[in-house]
Amino acid sequence: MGDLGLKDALDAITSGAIVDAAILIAVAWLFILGVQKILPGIASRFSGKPRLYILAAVPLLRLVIILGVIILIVPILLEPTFENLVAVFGALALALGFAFKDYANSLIAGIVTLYEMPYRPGDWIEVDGQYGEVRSIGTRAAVIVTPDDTAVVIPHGKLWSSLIANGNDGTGNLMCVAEFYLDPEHDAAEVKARLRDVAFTSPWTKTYQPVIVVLSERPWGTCYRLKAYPVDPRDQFQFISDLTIRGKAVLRQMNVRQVTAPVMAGET
Amino acid sequence: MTDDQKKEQPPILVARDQWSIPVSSVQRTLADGIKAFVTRIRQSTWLEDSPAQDAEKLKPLSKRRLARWTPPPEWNRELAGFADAIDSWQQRWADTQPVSFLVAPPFTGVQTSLETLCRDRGWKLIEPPESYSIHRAEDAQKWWSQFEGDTPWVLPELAHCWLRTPTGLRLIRRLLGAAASGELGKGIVGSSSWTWKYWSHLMPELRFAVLTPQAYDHARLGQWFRDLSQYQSQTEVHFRLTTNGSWVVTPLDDAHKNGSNKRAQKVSTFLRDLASWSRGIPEVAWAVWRDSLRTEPEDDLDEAVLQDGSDCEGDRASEKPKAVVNGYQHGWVIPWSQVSLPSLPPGESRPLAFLLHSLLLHGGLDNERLEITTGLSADDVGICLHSLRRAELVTSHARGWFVTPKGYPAIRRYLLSEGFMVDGF
Repeated sequence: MGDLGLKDALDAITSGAIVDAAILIAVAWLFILGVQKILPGIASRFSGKPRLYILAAVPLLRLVIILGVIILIVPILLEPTFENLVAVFGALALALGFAFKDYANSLIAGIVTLYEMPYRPGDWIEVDGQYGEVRSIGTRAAVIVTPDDTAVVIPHGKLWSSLIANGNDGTGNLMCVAEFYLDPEHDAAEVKARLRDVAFTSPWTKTYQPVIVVLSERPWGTCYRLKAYPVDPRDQFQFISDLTIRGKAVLRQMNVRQVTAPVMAGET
Repeated sequence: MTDDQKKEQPPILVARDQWSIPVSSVQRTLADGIKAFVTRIRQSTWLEDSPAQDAEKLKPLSKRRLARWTPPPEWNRELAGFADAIDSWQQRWADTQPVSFLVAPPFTGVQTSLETLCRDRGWKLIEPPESYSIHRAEDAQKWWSQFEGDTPWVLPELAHCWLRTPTGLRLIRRLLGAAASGELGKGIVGSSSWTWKYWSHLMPELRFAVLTPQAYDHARLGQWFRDLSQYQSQTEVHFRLTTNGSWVVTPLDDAHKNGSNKRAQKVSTFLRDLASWSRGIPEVAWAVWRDSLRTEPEDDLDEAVLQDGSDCEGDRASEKPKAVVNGYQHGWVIPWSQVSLPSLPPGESRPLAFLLHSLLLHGGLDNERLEITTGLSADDVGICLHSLRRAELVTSHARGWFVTPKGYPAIRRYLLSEGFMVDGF
C-alpha cells in the first residue's frame, strides 16, 4: 500500500481536517434525512403526476448531496494531487472489491437506476415474484410496498440479473385486466360491447385511455379480458373489483352464464 | 350601436377549433402555480370551524348594491347575435349535418339561450327523458315521439339524456346515430362540454362539426361588467383597485377612444387574471367579480340614505349619494392576490372526486342518481354533499345538485390533477 503513496497521503491528514469532514458529513446526513422525510410528506398531499415528480426528486437530491460532500471533503482531507487521488481511490476500490463486493454492486446499480430509471418512486413493479409500488429508492436498495402492505427491500443489484416488470413506467397509466369466464353459448359481439360499456361507466376509469375487450375460446368456454386504465395506479385493485362487480351484474342481466372449473381432490 | 362598434364586438359563437382560452401573463401563471403548491402543502385542515377574520377596512358590497352593480347575467340580451351565429352555422352545414351541435362549458348560459331561441321561433323544445326512458329502450317511445314532424327542434342539454351506467348509454348512442343519419330532421343539440368530451371518448368515431361560445377575454369581461353595472343604475361606476387606484374596468368614455387618449392612470391586470382563472366562462368570472367588490364607509351611509328613501319615499330619497361625483361612483376591487377562492381537500378523496365528476358529466344530479352513477351508498353521498356544500363547491340545483360557479375552476383543476377526464375548455 505504501508503494501506492497511500501512507503519505493519509499522514498529511490533520485532526482539524477530520473534524471538518465529520461536520460536513453530519450536515449532509441531516440534509439527506430531511429530504427523505419532508419530500414524501409533501408528495402525500398531491396525487397523480405532481406526486410522482416530488417522489422522484428524493433519490436525485440525495445523489446531488452525496456528490457535493465528496467534492467538498476530498480537498479538506487530501491535497488533491493526481498521486494522492489515485492512492486513496485505488485503496478504496480494493477494499470495496474484496470486503463489500455485493454492497458496492448495489451502490453502483443504485447510481445506474438514477439515469436508466428502470423504476421510479410511484412505479408498480414486479421483481422475483414480488409486486408492489416503489415507495423509496435508497442508495443500496429500493423499497416496494405490496398490495398487502408489506414492505419488500429489493437491492439494486437485482438490476443486473433479474427481470423487472414495470406496470406504469413513470406515468400515471397502468393497464388493469378484469377477466370473465363464460359459457360459450352466448352472443359474443353483444357481450363484448356491453363489457366495454361496463368499463366506460365505472367511475374509476380513465376514459381518455383505451378500453379494450378481447376474447379467446377455451375448451371450457370463452374467456373475456376487459382492459382499461384506472384514474390512478394505486386504485388498480379497487378498479378491477369494480369492473368485476359491474361486469357480473351486466352478464347476469343478459342471462349469460359464467363457468367455473371443477375443483379436483387435493387442489387448493 | 354604430357599425364600427358592431365590428369590434367579439364573436359570440365560434367553431370548436377557433375557441381560445384567455391567456395570463407568465408571472401570474408562475405566481398562481406557486401559490397553489404552497397552499396545498400548508393546508392542514379543510373546512375549519373558526370564522374568517376580516381585517380589511373596506367592506363587501351590500346585497342591494350587489344587485344593482352586478345583477345576475341575462343571457337573452345577446340572443340576436347568438341566433345569427346559429343560423349561419346551420346554413353552412345544411347539406351534410342537419343537426347542429352547440358544445359549451358549464355557466355559459347556452341552455337558457337555446330555450329562449326555441320559444321565440316556435320550434319544438325537447324535454329531457325520464330515468326509465334512459334505461329501457322500449319505454322511450314517448320521448322519441317529440322529434316527429317537420318543425325544427331544440334539445337544450344533452347531459340530461344519459346516466353513466351500463344501461344508461343507449339513448344518446341512438340519438347521435339518428342525428348523423338525418333521421331526426333539422334541430339543435346543446351539450355540456363534459358530456361531449366523455362521448367523444366513448364513440371516437364522432366527427360532428361543433359550435361553441367564445371565451370571454379581459376586454369582453370589462365591457360586460360595465354594462351589468348600468342596467339598473343610471350612474356610471368606475371600478378601481383598492391598493393603488388603477383602473380595473376602463371608464366608458376612455373605452371608446384610441389608446393615445387613455387616462394617465395605470390599468390593473385584475381582469386578465380573472379571465384566465375563470377560463373565460362568464358566470364563473361574474361570481368572483361579485366577491371582489368592496365599498367605502361613506358608501354605506349613502346606501342607508337610499334604503331609507326606498322605504318611506320621502325627500331624502331624492338626495344624491355623496359618493356620486361628476356623474359617476367608485366601485373598489380588491387585488387578485386577495381574492378568496374555494379549495378542495389536500390529498386524494375518491368519493368527493367521483361525486364532483358525476355532477359535471351530467349537468347536475339528485341524490338517487348520484348513488347510481358513483357507486357510493346513500349515506356516503349525503356526507360528501354536506362537506362539499360547506366548502361552497356544490349547491342545490334544479336537477338536484351542481357545482358552484366559483368552485368550478378549482374542481376542474383538482379532477385534472387526480387523473380524471376533464372537458376540453
